Amino acid sequence: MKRYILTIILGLVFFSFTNVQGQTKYTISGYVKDKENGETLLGANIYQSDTKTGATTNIYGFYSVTLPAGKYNLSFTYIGYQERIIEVDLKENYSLDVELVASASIISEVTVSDKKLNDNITSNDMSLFRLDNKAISQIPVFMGESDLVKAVQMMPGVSIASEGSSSFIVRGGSADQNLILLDEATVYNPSHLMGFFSVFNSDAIKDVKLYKGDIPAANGGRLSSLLDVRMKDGNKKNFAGSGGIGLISSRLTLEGPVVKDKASFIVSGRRTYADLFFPLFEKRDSLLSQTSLYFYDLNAKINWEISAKDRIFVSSYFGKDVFKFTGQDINWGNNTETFRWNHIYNPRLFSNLTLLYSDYSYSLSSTTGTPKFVWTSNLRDYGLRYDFTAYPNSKNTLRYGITGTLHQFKPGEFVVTMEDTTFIARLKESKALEYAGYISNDQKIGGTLTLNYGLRYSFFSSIGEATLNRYDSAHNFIDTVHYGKNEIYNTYSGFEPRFSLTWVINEKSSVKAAYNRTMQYVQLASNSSGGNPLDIWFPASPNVKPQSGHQWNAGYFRNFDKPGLETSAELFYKRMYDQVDFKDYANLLLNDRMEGELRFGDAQAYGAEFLVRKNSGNLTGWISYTLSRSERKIDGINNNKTYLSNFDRTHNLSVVATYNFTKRLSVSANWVYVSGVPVTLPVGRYYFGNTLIPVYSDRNEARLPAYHRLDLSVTIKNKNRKDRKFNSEWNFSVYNVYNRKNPYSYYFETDRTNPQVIKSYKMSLLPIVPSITYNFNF
Amino acid sequence: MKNIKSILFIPVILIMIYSCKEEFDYNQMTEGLERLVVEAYITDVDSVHTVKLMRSSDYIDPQPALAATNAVVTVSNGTDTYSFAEVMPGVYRNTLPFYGETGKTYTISINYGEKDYSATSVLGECFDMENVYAYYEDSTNYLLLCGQEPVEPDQYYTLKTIVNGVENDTLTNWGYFDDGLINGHYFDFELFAMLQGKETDTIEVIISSVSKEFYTYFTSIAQNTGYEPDPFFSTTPANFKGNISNGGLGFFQAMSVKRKSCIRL
Repeated sequence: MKRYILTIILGLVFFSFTNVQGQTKYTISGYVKDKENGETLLGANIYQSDTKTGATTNIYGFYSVTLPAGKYNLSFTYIGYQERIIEVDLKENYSLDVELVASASIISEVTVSDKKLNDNITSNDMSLFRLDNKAISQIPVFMGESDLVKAVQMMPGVSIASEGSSSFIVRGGSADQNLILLDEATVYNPSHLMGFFSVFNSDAIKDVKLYKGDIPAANGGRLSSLLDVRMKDGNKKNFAGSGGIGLISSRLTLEGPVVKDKASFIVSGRRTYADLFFPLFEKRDSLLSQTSLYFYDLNAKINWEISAKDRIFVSSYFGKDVFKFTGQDINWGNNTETFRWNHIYNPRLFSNLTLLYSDYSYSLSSTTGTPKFVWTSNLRDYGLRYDFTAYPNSKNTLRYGITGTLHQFKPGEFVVTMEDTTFIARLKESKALEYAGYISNDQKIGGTLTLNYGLRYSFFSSIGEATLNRYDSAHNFIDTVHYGKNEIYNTYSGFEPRFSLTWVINEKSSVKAAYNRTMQYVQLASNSSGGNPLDIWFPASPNVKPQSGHQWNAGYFRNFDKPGLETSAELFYKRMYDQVDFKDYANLLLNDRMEGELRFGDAQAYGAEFLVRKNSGNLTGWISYTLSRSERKIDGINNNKTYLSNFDRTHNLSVVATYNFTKRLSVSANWVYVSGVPVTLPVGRYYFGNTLIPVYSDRNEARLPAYHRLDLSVTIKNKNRKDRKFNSEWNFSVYNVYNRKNPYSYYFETDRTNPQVIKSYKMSLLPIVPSITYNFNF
Repeated sequence: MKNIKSILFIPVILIMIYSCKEEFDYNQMTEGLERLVVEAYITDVDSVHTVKLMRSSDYIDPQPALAATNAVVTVSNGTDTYSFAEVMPGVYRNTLPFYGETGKTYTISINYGEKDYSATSVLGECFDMENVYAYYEDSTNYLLLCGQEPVEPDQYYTLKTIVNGVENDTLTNWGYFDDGLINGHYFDFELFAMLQGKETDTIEVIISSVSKEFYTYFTSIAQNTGYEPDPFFSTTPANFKGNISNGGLGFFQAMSVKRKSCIRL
């Protein structure tokens, strides 16, 4: 089967290159940028209407169009920007950087051409949702911080993992099945402050794409989705800044040219100060006043156009959460570093070399009392990838490359100091190399059919020095084996074919279908649905097989000119193998034999997603509805019967809307409704050893009540004058407007006076939270 | 370990700052479910053995254990079968005395409410403590153990105390250990229990060797019902897996028991 797929793909690639001979052709290539600040535009369209030839800029803003010699009008378009038509006389290969002007205001002046509007119809991407910085900032905010993860959680097929959480669930997969990349580096924990905020500072973010069903062959390592977050490059024209002052946090971004039009930088930082207010609420010397609680993060990036063919980007993210509470201390944070070198070998061959570093760590310590202890855990990645995009002719875009990452897992080190003695416990550390090669081709056949077919082959090798626990088939520990330094003691590998098809029925409608196979070699040990910062990532090993999954999607896309709506309906079916769950009452905390607590099985998820989206006019936003089911069958859990997974949400409805009343005043609202989380509840009681013991239902047989919430915000801008450099706005937001007490969990307490009486409680988190933020830019 | 657990409450506390707790009426979600519960032990030190049969009830219904009466109970050791008679509602005792014997497999058979239940258990050997010592400090009695744990691996033990003649038979107050890390270990005045009490208390210690299944059952209960669950990061609960067939709850365990009086230091 595998060989068969490979033969077909290689055959298609060969075929696509051999049938294009004939008259002399030349290539126009270059970058599409924003005229104002020089930022490259990702996914801008280039179209030549006579030959019906088109192209799209890649993630670095680069495009390449090959046409027979002649005179052409080339149209450059990008959502939110004015269309630009450039006449070219093609007699040789031609380099052309194009700058587009942002539409002066989001009010009706925006002229959206049909082609722009129909990008969703013709592009060969399905199950892809994209947001730019502007769209994210229009969504009502929580505590004054606009947050892209909160926006992602309202996309079709995506739901919030739990109240306040920065984790999200995509099409019934677990939160750790989402690959989150910030400038190509993996972000292992996207949460700040227990998840009330995400690690992404939207001031520094240029573009966000979520791939749910058609993950490009260039990426892998997770089953459910790819969230590709790109940082801004920095203003190449002028020095500029932006920022905001909110009730609990402030942020500031500075950007500007280092060498005009050649090199630029951006630095963006945030810091919360909610803890400064704690003493106001409580008496002095109370617990709360001794508590400190904050996070900060810093994004920085520089880029430099060394020559017309070479560019260098260095980007960095550093963030930390700190929580101190009466001598006890917990902190965690991510650090990612990316170095990239774009090189254009020739107008038809673009390359990018990336060096990556990612670190996620946490520590817990107790500095007072006896015994004192420090517990640290971290996961570190060193990666390299080399990607090529080739544009052999106007019908094909070929992408290929290699990628490799060295993972270092240090699940936990525990140092206890008791008077004079120090006791150190260290969980077994491990190293692994994850590497892959891929090739894919985007091929246009005639004017109506586009295919994308690709193949990725990935490997995962566990590397010594390591001490491995061995278990029998009943998960009982047998013994340990030791492997020497740099010894490869286990390797998994697998084919990951990717296929998608777009058939354009007419200008306004298309049908798309996709198939994906994905593999996942690292996962999160988390057995609470909301996740917790102490959860650790652990790799595939001789005891843990890699997860793999198939996904089939099909969808119908239809646009309506009036009033400018994009609509789509998609169906998906996912089958996932070697899924990991935990035995009943598993101990995942500092457990050196954690692999013995794991149980394995299969899962499936299926559903339908509907989207109506409006990108232009005074009213913008979207409505998404998802109907889905997600099930698991794990050996040793729920008596081996199929059960609803923790990630099942039957109904999921999101309404996101912004209305611009005037140029200065806009109002945004969003409303979400999600079916309750499946839970296991006590249905009976009995006594054993004079102790009251609950009898539980089958796993996840019950559900919490549905989650719903309305958020509102009003933004008032200052008067727009041409000579004014400093602009500002006030944002008033209300989170959870009708103060819905969404149950986070049910929990039961034994009455202190009568132990036979059990009291039931609903726990809910965030009540109505108003906030006010002052934002500015210059 | 307790310290680690306490630090885990930090994120919980953090969430509590924002959270809201509200009592609600849970009744409507409870099923009218009634299952047979068995709590039965065969030991090698007593000739009279007790089988407690109870019924489960609604979770929220504030009732004590409900007796399961008029059941037919027998215990067999492979060759002989002993019948049990109901001496109090839900409490059954053997009519002919017998001692449990090491190495034998015991099977309990119960007929109750037109359903048959059974369970089997092997009576394993238990090591004898050489001595148990006690000393008193700050209203706590500290118990120290001397004795040789046998070299056979996979031994599981429960510990109970009898203070001034009263057996502490509440499960959550029992102690327990296994020989995973201490197989063949010689206990030399090692602390293994602390009891709130008085210096004048007379204390006896009962150590029993139990099966791995019982140990898992018992420790899961001890670790997961003794304190209130944290409402945010608690794991998915599940039924504690006993050894009674046909949907019965509870456990039937044959065990070797050693008893020692504490010597005051």
